[in-house]
Amino acid sequence: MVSTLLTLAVASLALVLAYALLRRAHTGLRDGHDWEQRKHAIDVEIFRVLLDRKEENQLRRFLPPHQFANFQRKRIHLALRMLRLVDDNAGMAMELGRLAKMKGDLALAAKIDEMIATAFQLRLNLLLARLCLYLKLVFPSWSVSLPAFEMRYQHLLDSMHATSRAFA
Amino acid sequence: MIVPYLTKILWLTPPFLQTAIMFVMLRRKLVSSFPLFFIYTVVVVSRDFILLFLPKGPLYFLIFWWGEALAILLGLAVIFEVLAHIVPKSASLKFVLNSVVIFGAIAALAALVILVFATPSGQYDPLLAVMILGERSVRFLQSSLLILVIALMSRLGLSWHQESVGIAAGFGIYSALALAAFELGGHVHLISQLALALVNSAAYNLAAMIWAFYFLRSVRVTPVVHLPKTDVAEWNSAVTDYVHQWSRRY
Repeated sequence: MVSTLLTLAVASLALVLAYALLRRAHTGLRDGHDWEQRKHAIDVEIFRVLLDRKEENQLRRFLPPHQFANFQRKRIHLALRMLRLVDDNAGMAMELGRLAKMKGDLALAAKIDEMIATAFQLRLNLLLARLCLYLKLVFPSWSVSLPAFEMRYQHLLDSMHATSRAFA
Repeated sequence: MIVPYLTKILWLTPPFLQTAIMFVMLRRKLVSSFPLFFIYTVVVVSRDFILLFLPKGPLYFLIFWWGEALAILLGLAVIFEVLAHIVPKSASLKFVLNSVVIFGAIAALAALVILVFATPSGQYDPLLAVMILGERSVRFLQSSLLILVIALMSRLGLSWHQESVGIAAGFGIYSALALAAFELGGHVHLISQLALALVNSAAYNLAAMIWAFYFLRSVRVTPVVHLPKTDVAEWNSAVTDYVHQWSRRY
């Protein structure tokens, strides 16, 4: 029974994802002109200010708690909307990179690969950032601390690279 | 009855579509980009055309099952080929490939557990029961890997002109429907053996149509001459800083 449920769940998820991939793929960019028309103009500095820790502390100090929570939620909503647009832009930038790669310019290809890799990292980071923002949306006054897993993982990776270099 | 005609149509459509795909791949020089998918196509088409002219007998079943085993192995290899094709060539993204290998190993283990512990019920032919169980386990592994690859593809912003989208989506839909059919028909017996065979065939037809759509249509894409400036790096830095804020409090 458990194996049947697991198998059917895996089958349904694969089916839904494959269908979503086909649906999403058909709204892609066709040329550089498309990018100019469809990219969203969003200012990264506004995003930084919206989620700035000092600003948050100032607001916490000067506003009554319920007002602070309301205001904080508005800021987070805005930040989440910005992230949705950034996600769109990153996706389009990757498509644009692939269109540019079709030209076959080897010097440009390395740059494009780097840009696609950065955009991919950004989209993975966006998942994490959204998760954090949704937590803050539910508990706006909560000053949460999370264990720095990814930092420890990075230290581990760095030390592994250093060890392998030393052995090489 | 309509069933024999339907079976014939479902059996004959994919080899013709895949023959066309083979020629288009050769003409557009796509063989070097997807060599394993090309070999998979050649193997499946050759097997189907050989079976078309063979009378049903020991040789027929030998070619059918060995061909099926080879096609399944090549199908799994194609998933890794698609992955290598879509992941940007960057040292920092090697972890993505490592994660897929780890996830693949976990899925393989789960498939092995299904194969070892799930005892086929109500099956009179033990050899057929083992074959169905084996195919169900491999389809489980294939679907699990495709879930990860397709999730990655959606993060990588691939679009309609990418053949890798078609290959992954085709395999995804086929393996998912085949897995469900093998589970419902071969294991819990909610559907008949005939329905299992028809669903399996129909799913493969759907996959062949998706591949044909992606490979056979004329591609009209204007290559971008200059890469315009994007603010991806600035945004990556801002979002990373925000995520790090959470761990710095620690």
